Amino acid sequence: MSNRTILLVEDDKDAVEFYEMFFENADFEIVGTCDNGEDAIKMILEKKPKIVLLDIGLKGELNGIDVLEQVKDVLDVCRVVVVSAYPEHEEKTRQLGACAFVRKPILAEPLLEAFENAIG
Amino acid sequence: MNFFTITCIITFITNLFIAILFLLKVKSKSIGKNFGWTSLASFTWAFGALFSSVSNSIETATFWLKIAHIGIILTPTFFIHFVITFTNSKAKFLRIFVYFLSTTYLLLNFFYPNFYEVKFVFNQFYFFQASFAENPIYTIYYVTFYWCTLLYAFFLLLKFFTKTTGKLRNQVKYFLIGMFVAWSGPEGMFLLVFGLPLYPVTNLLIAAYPLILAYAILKYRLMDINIALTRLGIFIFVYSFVLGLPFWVGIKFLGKGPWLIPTGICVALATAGPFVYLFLQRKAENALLQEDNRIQDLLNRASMGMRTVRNVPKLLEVIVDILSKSLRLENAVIYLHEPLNDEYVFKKSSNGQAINVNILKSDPLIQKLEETKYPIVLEELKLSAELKGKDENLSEIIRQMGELQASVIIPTVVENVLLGFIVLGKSKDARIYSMELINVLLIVGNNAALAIENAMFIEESEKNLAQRSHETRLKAIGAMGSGVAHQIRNRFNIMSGHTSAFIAMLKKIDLSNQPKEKLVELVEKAKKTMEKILENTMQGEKICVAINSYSKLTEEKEFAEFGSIIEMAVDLLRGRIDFDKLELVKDFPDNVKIYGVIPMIQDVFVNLIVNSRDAMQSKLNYIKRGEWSFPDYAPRITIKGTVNKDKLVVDFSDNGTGFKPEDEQNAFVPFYTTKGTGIKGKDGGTGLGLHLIWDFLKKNNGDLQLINKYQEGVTFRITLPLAKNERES
Repeated sequence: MSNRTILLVEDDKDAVEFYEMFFENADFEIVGTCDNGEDAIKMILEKKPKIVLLDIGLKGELNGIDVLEQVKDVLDVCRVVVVSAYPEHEEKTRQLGACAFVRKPILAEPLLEAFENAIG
Repeated sequence: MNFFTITCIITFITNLFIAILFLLKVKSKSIGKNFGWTSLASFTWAFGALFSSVSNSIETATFWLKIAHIGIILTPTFFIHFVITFTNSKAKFLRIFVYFLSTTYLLLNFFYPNFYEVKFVFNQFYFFQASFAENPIYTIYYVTFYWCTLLYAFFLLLKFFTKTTGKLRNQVKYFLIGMFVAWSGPEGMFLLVFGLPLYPVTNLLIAAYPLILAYAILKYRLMDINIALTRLGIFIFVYSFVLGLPFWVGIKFLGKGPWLIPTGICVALATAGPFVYLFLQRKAENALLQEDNRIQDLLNRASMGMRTVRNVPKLLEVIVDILSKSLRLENAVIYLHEPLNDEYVFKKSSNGQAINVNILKSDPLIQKLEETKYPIVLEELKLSAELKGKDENLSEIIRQMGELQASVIIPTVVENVLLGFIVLGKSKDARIYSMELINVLLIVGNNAALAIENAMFIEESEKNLAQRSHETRLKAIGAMGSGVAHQIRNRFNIMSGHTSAFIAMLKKIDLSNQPKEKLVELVEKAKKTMEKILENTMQGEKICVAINSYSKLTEEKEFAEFGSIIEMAVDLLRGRIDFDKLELVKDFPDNVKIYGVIPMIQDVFVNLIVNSRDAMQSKLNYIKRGEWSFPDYAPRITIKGTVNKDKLVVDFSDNGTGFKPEDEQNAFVPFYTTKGTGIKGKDGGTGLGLHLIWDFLKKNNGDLQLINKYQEGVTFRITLPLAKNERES
């Protein structure tokens, strides 16, 4: 399996569209997308992608922070890059094990940089 | 003079009394009049019988008995007419038939000599007699007409009696007894007519029934008579003495003779006299007081008209209009106090022309009005100026009144404060202002002042409502702020994301040596990116429009498409309410325009949605805790609109908790909340109370109705005026 697999957890379809553009261009392999916390947890545990792009505001009962809490056991395998418009989330998500925090509005370069760093 | 004569006099008086009472005083027209006519017919009988009983010759007696027969024939006729009306029976044909028969018998009475015979009976008086052998027509008349009519009338009365209850039953009971007694009178006398030598004492019974009626009237308010009866009772009592005594003395000392005829007429006319006098007096007074009545009417109209108008400019227009039209003035103008410069300024004139004369509070005119609080009449002022000689104040007032083109100035005073004054211009028919008219105008002025103050108060409180609405909306925007900002940021995120993705892609390739297909693909991508940017720009703009509209401080009514109002409300709430978690069913026609203060109406729906969301969240919590069981519960708001004539009826329903029956009653009470101080923390009790929502709708000529079912949900039935209708009006 390629070590450039990623999972997109984002509730905004339009955002997913440009993420796809980013990552296809940068030779990442998108193994799944989902818009709610419940599916995200399931897919992270099942597919064990190298990187998870995790939005904080999600559909469904759980938000990004809830997701982080639930998947902390696999964080040594999966690196999580959190994207959010609210910088106040950064500290908490980092504590929970996120490897990067990228502020919205999203621009291609900082995001890809964070991803490249995550892969190491 | 014999005993029969006396019974006739008594019957004469009592029946006249009853006839007058019912014809003139009973409020129920058809019942009163019909019964009055019956009594009048009985009176005619007594009148004729009275004179025949004192007649000296058979010819005179025959004449008077023919008169008496008018009564005999018409009494049952009017009686059946009365009974039919009184019992609400439908017998139009019967009535016509009875009238036809009675007319026939009246003709026979006067023109058929053999109808009955007149004989001297009991060695006392002339009376009519009939037998089947010699006067068959009279016998037929008596049996068929007289008996049948009476029996049928009593049948109807009895039938009516069995149906009635309570007070009416008592009335009918006494009436039946009275009528039975009354009709036993003629029946008793008919025995003599048909040859049985019984003295006609039963004539007294015709006189006795009014006593029974009088008792019933007093005790059971039979036919709404009370005071009238007392007055007439006294009248009859006095008249019986005043007229009866000379009559009796005459017969005692002069004996029977021709003098009885003029005296009899005199008695009849004297009895009728007071009524004729009263009638004519009333007519004359009405004619003389016509002007006063017109003024009274003016006052009433003015007060009624003023009370109904709540809009200040409109009210002022009504005031000057009423005055100028009622008094036929060339112009009527109203001035009101303007606190800013402490002067009285022109507000409205009936002829529509503005007059640019401002009167200072310190002017002698105002001082006089404040001092006297009484209308000033120019003519009087001029007169007193002539009498008093030089008086600067007076001549200044006269000068100012001239400037104002005023004949009269009426102060409008509320609680000793001169709110303003009304200038009455020249009267088209050179009216002289009488003392009474001036007093009426004073009252009109003060009523106007009250109405103006009231309208100003309402205007002020409505302004407060507009301000309150604005404040609540600003607060709501505060609460929505982060949500709205989030939405806008999302738009920016999409735009920047797409743009930077495209740029990143461009950076990776060398455009100069790409094949044509690759370039076409790139342009396609560029197009898609730009479309995304455009789409998100428009969405961001929509949110800004919604905020702008929502935060506006305005009282101005505008036209707006109902759908866009709902959409704006939803846009505003998008950041705060997750519309993915609740179904919003919109079911209303397109392009329905309503008319109102749009932000207020928008606010109504924003708050209804918030309230519904809270109620549905509560229901979810109940279900989660296992307290309520609603399998497959999915929150849903339905906004269903239907056009009904000039209104849009919107049923805004949710399937939330609904109000508890005890809360339902309080739902519209200000500051009442069912939500405690914070269900789930941040959003508890944030929606506006229903009383404010109701106020906002009222302000927009709308209405709100609550249809509640606890545990199932609520429907708010909202009516809003459609644009079309408002524009026409």
